[in-house]
Amino acid sequence: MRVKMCKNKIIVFSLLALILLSSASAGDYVWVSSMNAKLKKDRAAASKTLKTLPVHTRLIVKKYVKRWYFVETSEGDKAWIYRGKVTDIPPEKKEKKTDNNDNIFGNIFGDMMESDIASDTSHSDRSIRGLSAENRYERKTGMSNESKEYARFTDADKKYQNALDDLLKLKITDNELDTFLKQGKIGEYAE
Amino acid sequence: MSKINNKNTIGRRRFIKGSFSLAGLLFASPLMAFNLFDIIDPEGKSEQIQKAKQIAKGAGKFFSSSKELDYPVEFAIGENLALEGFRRYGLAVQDQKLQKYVNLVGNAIAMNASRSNIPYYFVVVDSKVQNAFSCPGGIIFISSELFKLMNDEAELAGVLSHEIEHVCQKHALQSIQRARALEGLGEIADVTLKSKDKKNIHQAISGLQTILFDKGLDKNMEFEADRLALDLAYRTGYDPEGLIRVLKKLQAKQSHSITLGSWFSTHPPLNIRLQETQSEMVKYSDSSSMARAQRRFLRHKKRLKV
Repeated sequence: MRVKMCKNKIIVFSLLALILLSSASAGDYVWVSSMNAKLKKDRAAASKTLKTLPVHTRLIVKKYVKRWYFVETSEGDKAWIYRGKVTDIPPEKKEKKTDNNDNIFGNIFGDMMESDIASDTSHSDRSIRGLSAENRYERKTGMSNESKEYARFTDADKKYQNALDDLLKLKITDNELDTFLKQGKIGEYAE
Repeated sequence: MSKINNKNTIGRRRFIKGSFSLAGLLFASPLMAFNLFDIIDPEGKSEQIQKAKQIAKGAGKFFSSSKELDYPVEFAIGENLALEGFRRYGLAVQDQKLQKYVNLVGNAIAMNASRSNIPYYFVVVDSKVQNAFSCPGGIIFISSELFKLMNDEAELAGVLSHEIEHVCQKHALQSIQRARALEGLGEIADVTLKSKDKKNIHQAISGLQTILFDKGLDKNMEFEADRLALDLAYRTGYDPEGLIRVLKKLQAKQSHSITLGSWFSTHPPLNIRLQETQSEMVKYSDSSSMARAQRRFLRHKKRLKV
């Protein structure tokens, strides 16, 4: 009888230990959440960039020092990344599209029953999710033809069309952004 | 006459009750209710049943709608709303350096947003109304009057983060899709601007104008945008309290400001927003050590004529 009770206790404790261990390891990962996330050799923005990681890349956290994570990639590279570039919330599995618009109930309940939610439209807390860099849309070079057509149709004043056209022509490059953050000592350039 | 009115009222009540019961059934048991409309009205003769069917169909689409609308259509809708934005709030301030500066702040933040894969465009418009708003697809307006109210870059970052989050969460599109679903209208995702069904897209744009410029978004969407904006500004490296400081300044100015079409009329009461955002600040214990970039901001603010 005693032996049986002892066995039960061991099983319960083993299960508890397993749960604790698995939850601890889940907290040891972070995922890249920003465009242009750089892996740095040292804990400083000025340090050598070893790699630029795509959004959603999973990283193993080795330690955390003053707003910087020391991480390991799946390829075994170990380096530093600024905390603002990553999130501890895992991304959704994949993007899903529902094309069957005829099935009204499929549309109502389909999404509730499946976990594969479009990554850029999910509404979870903090919502730090993005699409991969491969899906990046380029900046426009002016008003689209469709909008020009719409503007003609609605008789929109030419000065408003020109204002929009000018706005869409404005160029911002990744290098300019980097310099801007550096000059303002923002984010990874703060220290 | 009053009898007829009574009859109409009772009929309407029955119809509403019936619609609610049907809706309840749909949600409770989808398989059973799947062909319910066809069983009740197999030949599709009843106008009311057909309308209820359309409402349910619209509601069904609403739940999955925002992800079905592809970015080019979303952006084209945003472009057309931007035209209306210029018409209502004035043209861009003619200062390239200022416009470039706002675009650098905005894009530095957007790089860390949940929809960092789309381009964002920011414009300061010459307007006496304190306002900022975002059009679907990533065109964001800020009025010169609101800009003048701010005192550092973290404050600007807070306001821009709030607007970026509206774009990321597709709040405006959700609002219009929901409104259209309740009216039993079609899905805007089904059409493109090139299609012949322009009436549909024009209706959507006109509905969005009312939401963005007159009524404002649902208050819960505003609270969500505030909450996410704190986090976005913080992760970029700005002091998240910047947004709170702007809200406080707006609160102080509220009594003697133009309210029509401003942040006062299109956003929830400032005291509640302040309460909500301040309670979030516990998450950001090191906020005071984050960047404010005040000197750079003030240098650009000077470019605006007071």
